[in-house]
Amino acid sequence: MTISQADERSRAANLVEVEDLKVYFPVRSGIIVDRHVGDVKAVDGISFEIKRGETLGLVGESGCGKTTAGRAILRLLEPTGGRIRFDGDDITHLHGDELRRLRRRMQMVFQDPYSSLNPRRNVGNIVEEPLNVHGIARGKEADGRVQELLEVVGLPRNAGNRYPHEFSGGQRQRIGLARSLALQPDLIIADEPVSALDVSIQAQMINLLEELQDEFQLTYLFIAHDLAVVRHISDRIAVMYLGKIMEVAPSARLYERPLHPYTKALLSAVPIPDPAVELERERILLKGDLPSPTNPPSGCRFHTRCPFAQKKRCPDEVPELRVLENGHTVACHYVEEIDAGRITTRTLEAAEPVAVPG
Amino acid sequence: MALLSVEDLEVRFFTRRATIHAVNGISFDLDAGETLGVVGESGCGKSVSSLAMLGILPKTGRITRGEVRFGDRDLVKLKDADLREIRGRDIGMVFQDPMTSLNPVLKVGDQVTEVLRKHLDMDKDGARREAVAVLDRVGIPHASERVYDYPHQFSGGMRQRVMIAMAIACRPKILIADEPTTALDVTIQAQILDLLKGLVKEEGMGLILITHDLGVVAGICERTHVMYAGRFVETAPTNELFDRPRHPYTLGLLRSVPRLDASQKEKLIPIPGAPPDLSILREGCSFAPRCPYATDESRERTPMLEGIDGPMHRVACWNPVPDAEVATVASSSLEASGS
Ligand SMILES: Nc1ncnc2c1ncn2[C@@H]1O[C@H](COP(=O)(O)OP(=O)(O)OP(=O)(O)O)[C@@H](O)[C@H]1O
Ligand SMILES: Nc1ncnc2c1ncn2[C@@H]1O[C@H](COP(=O)(O)OP(=O)(O)OP(=O)(O)O)[C@@H](O)[C@H]1O
Ligand SMILES: [Mg+2]
Ligand SMILES: [Mg+2]
Repeated sequence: MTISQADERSRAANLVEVEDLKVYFPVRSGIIVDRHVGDVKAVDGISFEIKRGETLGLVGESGCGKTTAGRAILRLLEPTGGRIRFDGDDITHLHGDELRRLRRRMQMVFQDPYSSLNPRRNVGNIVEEPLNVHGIARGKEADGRVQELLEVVGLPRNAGNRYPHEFSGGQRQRIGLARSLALQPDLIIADEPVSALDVSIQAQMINLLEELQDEFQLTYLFIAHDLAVVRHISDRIAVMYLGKIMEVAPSARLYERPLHPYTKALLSAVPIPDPAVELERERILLKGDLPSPTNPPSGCRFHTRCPFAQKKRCPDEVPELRVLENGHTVACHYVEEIDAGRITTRTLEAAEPVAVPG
Repeated sequence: MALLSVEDLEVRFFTRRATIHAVNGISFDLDAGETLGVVGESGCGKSVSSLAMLGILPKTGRITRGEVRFGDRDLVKLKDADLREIRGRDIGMVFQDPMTSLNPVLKVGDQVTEVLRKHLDMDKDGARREAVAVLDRVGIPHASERVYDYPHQFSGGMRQRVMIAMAIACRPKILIADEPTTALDVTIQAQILDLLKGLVKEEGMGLILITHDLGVVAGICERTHVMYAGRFVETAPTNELFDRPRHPYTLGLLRSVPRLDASQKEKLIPIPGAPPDLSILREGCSFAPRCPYATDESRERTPMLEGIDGPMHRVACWNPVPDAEVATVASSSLEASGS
C-alpha cells in the first residue's frame, strides 16, 4: 500500500479532520484609535479527527475553547489558521453557496434550546423552516416530514401547533433536535446539550441521542463539561486545556488509564454518586485558577498548575501531541516517566532542593 | 438537643396568576458538626426552604405553617431586627445566586469588614485584620492585598471563596450553602468542597449543603434528604441512602445519572415524564404520575415520612422499592465500582 492509498483510506474513515486549527479573537482597546492590543487564543493549534459514525467527546474546563472549536468546524467562525476537512474536502475557507450547501450536512445542538428557537413561530414551522430554506420540501410533503421528525424525537403528535414556551426545557431540547435532523445531516455538533436539564430528564435526552445516532448513522462531536456524561456517550474523548488538546483516547481507556497529569486531576475531581467509592478515592487537587487565554503560560500550558511539572522542558517547550499505543495520544514531555512512576508528585517536592544546589 | 430543628415548614408564593406550593411541610434536625445534604431537581424547593428559614423570602412568599427552632427561639415568629442579628452571626449563608451576596461596586475587603462590624463589636482596624485572616483561611492567596480588589477582579472560584468567607466571618454555628459549586469547574469544585469539609471539622459548624449533584452529597454529607415537589421523600444516612434507596424517586435518580466509574456502558434508565406543576396541589403522592410502583392509594393519599429499615432511614411512600429490586441496584453499582 502506498502512502497516498493509506491517506485515502483514513480519509474515507474520517468524516472530519482538524489540523493545527487556530481561532484567535482580537482584543482591542482605545476609544479614538482602535488598536489591536492582543489576542484571546481561544483555540491554539488543535488537531484531531472524527471517524464516521463515532461520537467524539470534547471536554475541558470553562473557557478552554470547546465551543469555539465546534463553531469553527461548522464554519460559524473563520479560523485564524490551520485546516478543517469535511468528508475529504477542505472547508477551512469556504464561502457563499458552497458554505450553504455544507451547512446542510452539519448541524449544531445548543445548550440553551430556548434562545435558539423563535418564540413567535409554532413548533411545526420551526422544524419545517430548514426544509423550506434549502428547498427540500414544501407544503404537504413538508408537513408529513415534520410529523415524522416530531415523532422521532418523542414529542406529542399535537406539538406542531404549539409554541416553544409551552414546553419544558427537555422538550425544547427535543424541538431543537428535530429541527437539526430535518436536513438529514451527517454530523451533529452538540454543545452542552444536556447541561441545562435536570438529571431525570438528562437521561431521557442522552438515550434519545444514542438511539438517533443508530437510526440515522450520525456522527457526533459531543461537547460537555460533565465527564460522566461524556464518558457514557462517547467512543473517544479529547481533553482540552487553555486552547490546546492535552490527551485523546478511547473513552474507557481514558478513564481507566489517564496519562496526562491534567486528565488525571480532572477525572479525580469528578464526584461519584457512591459514598463508599468517594471515601476511598484519591484526589489530585490542583492549585490556583485557570490562567488567561490572552496570555497563556509558555511551554506546556498546564505547567503552572501541574503537580508533576519539571524544571526542564515544561516551562519553555510546547509538548507535541504524541501517539502512544492503542489510539492513545498525549501532549506531555514526561508522560512515560510519570506513567512508570519515575516522576511522582512527591519526588518533585523531594527533588527540588537537590535540583537547585546553592 | 439539635442545633436547628425545622418542623413541618410550609411555604407558599401568592402571585397574581396562582398560588405556588413551593414547600409542603418539611421537618429535619441539624446537629453541631453535622453535614446534611438536600438533593433534588430544579424547582423542588431547596432554595426556598432555606430562604424561609432565614426569613428572607421574596415579597410574594410566605411561611404558612411550621417552626424553625434555633436554641430556645422560633425563627418564624422572630421580629425582623432579631432575625437580622442571627443571620450572618449565628447562621451563615452562601447563596445560589452570587449577585445576592456580593456588591459589585464595593471592595471585597470592605464587604467582609462590614459583615464583621455589623455583628461583632469590632473597631475598624480589628475588623480589617480579621477580614484578611478569614480571606486567608478560605484560601485566597495574598489576602492582605486582594482586600482592595472588586468582585469582578476575582475568578469564579475565588469569588465563591469570598462568599464563603463572608458567610463564616463571624464564626456561625450553622452554615447553609446553596449549590456552592454548581457554577464551577470540577477541579475548582473539588477545591471548594475540600475547603468546606475542613471548615466543618475545624469550626464544628453544622453544614446544610444544597445541591442537585448526587456525587457531591456522596462525598461530603453524613445524612441526606431527597426532596421532590416541596417535600422530603426520603431521608437516611448517606451510605444507607445510596446502598438501599427505598423511594422510587431516589432509585430513579441513581439509575438515571451516568457514573464516571461504570465498568461497562450500561443503559441509563430515565424517569419518565416531568416534575409536577406546583401551582396545583393534588392529594396523593406527587411522584405517582411518574412512578412505576404507584397504586390507587398513592394517587389518593399523601404518604408521610416514616421509618423503614430502622428509625434513621425514613421514606414517604406507600409502596417502597422492594428489597429484591434494591439489591439489584446495590450489586450493579458494586460491579461498577469494582473495576
Ligand atoms: N466572540 C468572542 N470574542 C472574544 N473572546 C471570545 C469570544 N468567544 C469566546 N471567547 C473567549 O475564548 C475562550 C474560549 O471560549 P469558549 O466559549 O470556546 O470556551 P468553552 O470551552 O466553550 O467554555 P464553556 O465551558 O464555559 O462553554 C474564552 O476565554 C472566551 O472568553
Ligand atoms: N418569587 C417567586 N414567585 C413565585 N414562585 C417562586 C418564586 N421563587 C421560587 N418560586 C417557585 O418555588 C419553587 C421552589 O423554588 P426553589 O428556588 O426553592 O427551587 P430549587 O429546588 O432551589 O431549584 P434549583 O435547583 O433550580 O435552584 C419553584 O417551583 C419556583 O418556581
Ligand atoms: Mg462552551
Ligand atoms: Mg435553588
